[in-house]
Amino acid sequence: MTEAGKHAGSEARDEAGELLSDTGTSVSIAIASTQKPHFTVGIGASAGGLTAYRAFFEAMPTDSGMAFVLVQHLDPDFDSTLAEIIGRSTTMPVLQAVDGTVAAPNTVSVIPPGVLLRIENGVLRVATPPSIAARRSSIDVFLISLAEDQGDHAVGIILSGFGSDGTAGIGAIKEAGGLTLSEAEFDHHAKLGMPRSAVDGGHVDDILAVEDIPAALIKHQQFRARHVLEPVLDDVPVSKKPQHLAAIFSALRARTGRDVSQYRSSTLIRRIQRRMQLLRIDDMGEYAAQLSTIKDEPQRLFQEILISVTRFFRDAAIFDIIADKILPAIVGGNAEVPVRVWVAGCATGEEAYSIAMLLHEGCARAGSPRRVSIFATDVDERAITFARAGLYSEAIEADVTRDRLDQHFIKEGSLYRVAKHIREMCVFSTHDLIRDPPFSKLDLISCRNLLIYFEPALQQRVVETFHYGLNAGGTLWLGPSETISGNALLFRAVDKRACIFSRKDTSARSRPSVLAEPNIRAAAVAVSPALDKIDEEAARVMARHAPAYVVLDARLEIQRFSGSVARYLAPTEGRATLSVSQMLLGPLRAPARALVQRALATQSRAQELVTFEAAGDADAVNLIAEPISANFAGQPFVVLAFQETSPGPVKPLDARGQPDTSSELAAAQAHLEAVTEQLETANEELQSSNEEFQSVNEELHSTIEELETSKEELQSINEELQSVNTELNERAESLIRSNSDLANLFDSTSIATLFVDGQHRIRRYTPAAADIFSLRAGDEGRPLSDIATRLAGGAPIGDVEVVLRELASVEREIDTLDGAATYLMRMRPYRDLKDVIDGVVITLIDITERKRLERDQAHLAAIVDSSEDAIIGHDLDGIINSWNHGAQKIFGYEASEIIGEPMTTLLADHQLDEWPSAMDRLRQGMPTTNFDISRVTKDDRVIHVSLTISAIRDPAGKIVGASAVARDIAERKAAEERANLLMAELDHRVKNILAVISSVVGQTLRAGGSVAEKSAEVDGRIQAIARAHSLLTGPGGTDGSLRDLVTLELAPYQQGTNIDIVGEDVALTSRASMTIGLAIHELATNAVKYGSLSTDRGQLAVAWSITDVSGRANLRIDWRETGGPPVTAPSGRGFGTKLIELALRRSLAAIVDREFLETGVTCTIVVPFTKGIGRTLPSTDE
Amino acid sequence: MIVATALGRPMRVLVVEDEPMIAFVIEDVIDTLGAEMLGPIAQLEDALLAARSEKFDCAVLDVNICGEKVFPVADILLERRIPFLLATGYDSTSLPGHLAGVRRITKPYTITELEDGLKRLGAELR
Repeated sequence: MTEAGKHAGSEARDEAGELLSDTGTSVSIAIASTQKPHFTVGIGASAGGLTAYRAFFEAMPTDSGMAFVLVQHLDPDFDSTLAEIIGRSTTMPVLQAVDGTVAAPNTVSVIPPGVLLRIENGVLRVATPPSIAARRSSIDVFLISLAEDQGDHAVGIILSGFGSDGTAGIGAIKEAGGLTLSEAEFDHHAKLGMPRSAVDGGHVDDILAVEDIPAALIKHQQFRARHVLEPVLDDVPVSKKPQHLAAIFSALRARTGRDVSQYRSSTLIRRIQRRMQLLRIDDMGEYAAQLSTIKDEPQRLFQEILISVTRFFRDAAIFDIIADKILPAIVGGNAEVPVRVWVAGCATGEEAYSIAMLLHEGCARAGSPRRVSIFATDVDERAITFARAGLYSEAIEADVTRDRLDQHFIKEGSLYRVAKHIREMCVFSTHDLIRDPPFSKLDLISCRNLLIYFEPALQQRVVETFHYGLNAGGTLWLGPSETISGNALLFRAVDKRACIFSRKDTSARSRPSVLAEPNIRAAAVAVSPALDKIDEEAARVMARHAPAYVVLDARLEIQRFSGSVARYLAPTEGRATLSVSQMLLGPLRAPARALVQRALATQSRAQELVTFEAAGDADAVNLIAEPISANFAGQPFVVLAFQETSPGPVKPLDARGQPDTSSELAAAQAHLEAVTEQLETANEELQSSNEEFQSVNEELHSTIEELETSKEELQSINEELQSVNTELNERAESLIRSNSDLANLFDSTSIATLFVDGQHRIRRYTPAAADIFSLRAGDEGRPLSDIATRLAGGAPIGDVEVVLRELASVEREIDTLDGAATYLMRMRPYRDLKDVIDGVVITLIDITERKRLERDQAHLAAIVDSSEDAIIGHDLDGIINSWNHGAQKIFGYEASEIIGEPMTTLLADHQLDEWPSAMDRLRQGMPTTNFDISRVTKDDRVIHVSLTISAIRDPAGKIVGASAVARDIAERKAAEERANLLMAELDHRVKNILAVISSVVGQTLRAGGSVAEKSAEVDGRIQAIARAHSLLTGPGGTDGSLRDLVTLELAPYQQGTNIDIVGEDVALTSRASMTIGLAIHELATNAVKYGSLSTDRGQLAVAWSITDVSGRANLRIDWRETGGPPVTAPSGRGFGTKLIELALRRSLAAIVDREFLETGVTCTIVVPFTKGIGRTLPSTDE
Repeated sequence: MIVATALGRPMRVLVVEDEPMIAFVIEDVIDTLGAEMLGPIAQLEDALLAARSEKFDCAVLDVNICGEKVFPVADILLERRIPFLLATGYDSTSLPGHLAGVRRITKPYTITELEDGLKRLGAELR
């Protein structure tokens, strides 16, 4: 009924009032330009949205001037093709939004996957959601921003989808004055969670089939193009409000029983205008006229006026008082019994949750174990649904302290959900305070800002109901302007300002029968406006002539008195009651009861003439019982009228003419009283049944609540399962991909790989392994030992066992049987995902080529190492990186001490400057070949090497270093020096010889004589020199043989035995050899000319020996001529004599004794036999 | 001969030459110049002795005598400020640095060359 409406209505008044005062305006309708207003349409959808989108855009004109933004729940991990798909249904450009996309007219923007979309100043903003949960409210996020950004130019549409995303956003748009639409349930087999949730939120203006939504949008646009909302003065006195308002109030009251005339007119006009927009009615008068005729419109208008907005901890100061003064007593009560609280008119639940938090904190503070049940009721089912969800926007941060937010709420994206411990304290149910039975045994009732909308009489009854429901001493908490006037007997004020009251334990706890009352009143109200003034007056006049009557309910309790019924009444002693059987005069009681029951049973009029005694006079009255045709709240009512008759024989007397009926009467009375007692008993039984029903009712509420909660849990489980399913699908896909990757790897790898399980059975293998192990398709599962492999030693079973036993890898080289190939076999334990060993993985890598290369390399290395030459590798920075044995021999450094050092280590200090240019040459690729240079060894010796430097290039041809080959050329160098020395010596000697010859020639010529003679002399002397010299250059080196000298000199003159040469051979130095040679030559020449050799008989004896004279060795040569012609001493000292005497003496310090005897010439030459002269030769057989 | 005398008496020339044939030539030239020959000396030992102790006006030294270098004799003559000729078949590079500026005649030299050399020595003495 009305409680939530009025409650919320007061809020609407407050909130809307504030909202309007912000702009200082109210609104009215005026004609404006016909330009199309720009609308931004936010469309939210989830599962099933695609079909709905297509249907929508196929029906949507493409030149509407509206901008469309689609917010779809998308899988964040997949690229969305939504824009493309929708693009096929409309010619408007459809684009996936990016940050900064302008929501331009006649365009469609689509949310990208995995983001939150907002709109600011007509520009779309893309943000990463802070959590996965936040993504689930992406529609809310966008619609709320749309409402803030576009105000009443925003349009929110909720299409198919699970869950409740969008509901809050639709609310925001509606609050901002925008248009809100939802997909109709019957449409497209849609997933209806979201549309239904939005509708349940109470903020959807119209529910339409998707195909009809575009038309509605166009109509809305056209309406808005004709009208703009203009401000009018607010707070116009009621009397001055537009006349149409009164008509609207009246129609609303007539159709819904709700009186909104006390609402603020600005709020009302705004709300009425929104209805007019939707109905496309331009004139308020016309609306007022049509209000009653359009189906459900009064209810919709009322719903529009209800904006179920309330707040957490409203009037926080009073909450503090409750916490301080009231709760401790409640919390400290009997721990066995739960605390019971009733929040009547809870609207969207904030009040109930606030009290729950308060109690939770109170219990925690006092350490009380008492359980708490809060019954939160409202007549508005949609508000209850919202309250049950317990999901609130960030706006509550203004009302709830940070501590409480942290403690009692869970943040879900931009929303707060009431935590479980608070939610479980509250039971929400729809409940009509006026019609439905109350809750009982309560510790606290909160019913704030509700009573003020009730008539005083109804207020009183409600307060009585609360009195009934509360425990002794229980607390009633009313709104600030509400009182318990007229019920002072039932409650006493605890805190008047805070409107907190305590129940007085006065009368018996009987539930006041308030039920039918407001219904009747409502009916009367409903009729009254229809009464004509004349009818009213006529009725008033006629009332004086009409019979007196009472109205009874089915329990025969009097509900109405009318006319002068006093004549027929006689209240009995005892408990006051309105029961007709207690109130009527004794004689009338039974007939009246019978008549009423008959009338109820037959639903028709029943009447009886009854006589009775009143004030001693017999009187008769015609009792008429007639049921009231309409039932109110399921209760039958009966009118019992007392039609007076003229006194007379209304009842025929019996034949005797005296009223001999007293005994009969007494019997009847006794019977009636028995019946009455029976009825009272029944009545009591009914009362106790009623109480039972009440508790059953409560249980029912709780059960419903539990079911609702279960349903919600199931829904969330369902959602979770959906996400799990999606994840599993993804994982399956990723597994398929991995598997495919592995299969491809297996097929393409050239590394032979074999998987063997714990029982040595082959599990899987690569094609390369099939070749080596001679495997064929179908060999999977066969034991490895069964396989005849190509490997030497067969299948490596032993290794497999080792790996399985020791769980360590095995690695070794293995040859094939034919020895043609070598493999590196690695065997590792196979660990499954749980790290359990389940077999081994065998890989075989073909290293045949590598082995060959290794051998080649070793060979080359051996060559390099065995070379006598230094072979040194260095990089472009001159850092040495290889060093062979030859290098060690030549330079003295060990490889270990020189590698890493610069090449300049091997240079002398003065060579350091040349090095950079040498490196430049190298970088330019210019080789250095056989370049003789000196280098420095480890012990600082300078050595001479022949150096060849060649560049080392990488496979790309880039120079990366150099090899330097250095050969020690010390020996060659020495030979060269020796040769040079020899050359110089030779030069010297030649010149010397030439000087000697020059001297010989000169001296010979000086002596005079014929040219022929001189020529022969010169010739002979030069030949003698040449002979002496040829001996020196022959074998034996620099020394000449004395015997050879003499023999050669005398050979031309030898004839048979004429010359006798005797002497041990002696080696002569070159100088001695020449001087002695020349002397012999001169002696021989003289002998041939004048001496013994000039005749055939002459004899010549030449003998020499080494003699020892007082410790000094002398060479004595004896020349003795015999048999020749007589000789005489020569006349002068010719050159010949000089050569024999002077030369020997001067040059060799010799003593020459020449005698010209008769028999022939003798000459004795004694030469000191020093080193400068010669040496003895070892004796030979010759 | 103009140059053959020194200080009013015949110039005395020390000859160090191990080759008698060449010594004959030198002797002839010295005779021709009217000078007097001291030597010829063929041994370095004797040459050193003569260089230190004998009286002579100038000298003709063969660089190479009996396989030894005559330089120590030259040093003594330099010390005694006695002018001399070095006769050598070697080129100048084989001379010690301090003897590089000494008057030389290169073997094989002609009689004229030797005469000129001796004349110059004689001129220096005057």
